Amino acid sequence: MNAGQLIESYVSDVARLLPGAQRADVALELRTLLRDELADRAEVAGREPDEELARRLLAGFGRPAEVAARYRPAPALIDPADTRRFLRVAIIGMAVIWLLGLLDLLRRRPVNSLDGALYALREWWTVGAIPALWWPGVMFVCFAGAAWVNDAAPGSPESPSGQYGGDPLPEHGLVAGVRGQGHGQPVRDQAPASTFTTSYTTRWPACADSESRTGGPADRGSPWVISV
Amino acid sequence: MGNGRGGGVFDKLELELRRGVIVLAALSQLHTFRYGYELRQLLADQGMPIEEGTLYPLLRRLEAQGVLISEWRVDGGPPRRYYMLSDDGLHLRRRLSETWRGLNKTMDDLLDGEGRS
Repeated sequence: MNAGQLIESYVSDVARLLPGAQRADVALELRTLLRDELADRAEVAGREPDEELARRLLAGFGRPAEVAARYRPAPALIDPADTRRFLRVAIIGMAVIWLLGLLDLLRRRPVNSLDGALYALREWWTVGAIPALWWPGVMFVCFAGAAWVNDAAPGSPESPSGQYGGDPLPEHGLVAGVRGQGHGQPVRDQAPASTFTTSYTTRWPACADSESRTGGPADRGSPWVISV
Repeated sequence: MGNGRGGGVFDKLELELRRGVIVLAALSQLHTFRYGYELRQLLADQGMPIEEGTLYPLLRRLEAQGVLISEWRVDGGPPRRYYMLSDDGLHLRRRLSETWRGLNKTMDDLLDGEGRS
């Protein structure tokens, strides 16, 4: 596979993961950008664009799923702020259901021998423990619903953030302001932007971790490159 | 904190700091139509390297938010998409610049005064 084919395959993989309306447009732009990036790297390396350079470039760009996600960030199903609470409620609830189920079973069928205990344990597992998985499922739906309501109307009195009188996020949703010297709103605690890491070892195995984060032309002579 | 665990924490926190300025850095150079690759080179040459996989999708997202406008151009090569600030984007850049300068001043004051209180 030559460099051009590799880029074409990569662009196709990214485009396949995008909504139909966005697919052709992004693919056209991404193809040109990658070719220009590759040409630049080849010029710096003093050679023709080849497969190795293309693999390095694509490894630095990220897995197609990561790239597609950057073009169209997926919404969080559960508010990150509620994740620990969700886990706590789900796990404690499951534990309570399991314990009550076990006690009920032991009340109905007292255990008098090892065989009886194993039989009771098996019955508890199939009749009580596995069906109890409805609990984390219901909790997930509840938390996801809360996240959806909060996302649809941030700061509204009905939404969780609105209960505390919080200001709605800026319309552009990019930065919060700074208190002091008349420069806007108080700093709002925001979840950090997603960080994408590269582990490109399937279709582009030679590039895994080689120079994926720091080998691009833009970071020559620079100690860091920003990735969001 | 130059290496080891401390170095890792430093790198992570420094990245968080720098991440916050990507949007403003990009907006600062888009007063005229620029191609994504050209913008990335321009920023890198001025000491603000941004990964290609970060900048290009960002331009798209900013366009979707109405901050940028874009157009396709064919100048003797393959079609390239050029981006520029919209009217809303100009307003946003002005506001963000003010915020940035205020933040800078606040932080300078805080850092200059550290240990005094």
